[in-house]
Amino acid sequence: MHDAPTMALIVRQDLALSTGKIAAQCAHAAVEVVRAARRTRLLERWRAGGSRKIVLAAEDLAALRELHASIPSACHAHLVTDAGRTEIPAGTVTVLGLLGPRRTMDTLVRHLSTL
Amino acid sequence: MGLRSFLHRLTAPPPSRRTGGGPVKLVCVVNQSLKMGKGKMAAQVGHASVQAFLNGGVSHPSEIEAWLASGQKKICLKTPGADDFESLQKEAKRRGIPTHIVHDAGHTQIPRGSATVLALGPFDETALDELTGHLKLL
Repeated sequence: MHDAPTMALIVRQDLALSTGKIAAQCAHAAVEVVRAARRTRLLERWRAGGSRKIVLAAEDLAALRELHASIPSACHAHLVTDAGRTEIPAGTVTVLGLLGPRRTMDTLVRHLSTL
Repeated sequence: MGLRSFLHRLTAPPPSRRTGGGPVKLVCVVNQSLKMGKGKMAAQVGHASVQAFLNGGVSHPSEIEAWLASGQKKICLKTPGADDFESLQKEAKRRGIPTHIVHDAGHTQIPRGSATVLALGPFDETALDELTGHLKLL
């Protein structure tokens, strides 16, 4: 399914997180985005289309916030704030999770590189 | 309620009652033999977590509720190969711990059908520690 909705998990690069921490934060974002999109056709189509997921890199917090502010209404988003139990202080924003129609997502994150 | 969730409710096993009120967490065990990049790994762990969350909502609703309420505690561990997944999954089932294995669609980096991540939980933290205490952090 080439037009299946896409989830993008965008990770802040300036925090230098470990691989395990990145994975856990992305998982957190993914679960929260699914919760945000609960009972929507978009979520159903995403799951039916293989739960397409891409992990991307954003330079810093400003880049993440800028993206978060420009999200179209067709998308669902969640900004992950870490509880601060390991590696980084509590309240640190780590990952932005997005779910949207494939074309919208492609346009939105075109300028970002994959992690 | 949609027709699908209605049917699901009729056919789903009765919700388990939680034993004890201790902390609940989700463990994701990553198959290291595939040599995935860190982005790939994060996506696979994300996939495992979403599935564990959605399946758990049906089979273990009280664990899911406690897990969400306590900030979705999650830990990533690693294992040298997928062989360990089978024994871990078998042992988890014996202890009543929900499991899910992610098989990759093979679009990028690794062969189609590879077992990438084993999710254990969300479930009682002590029970999970007993099962996975020997594994290293990712």
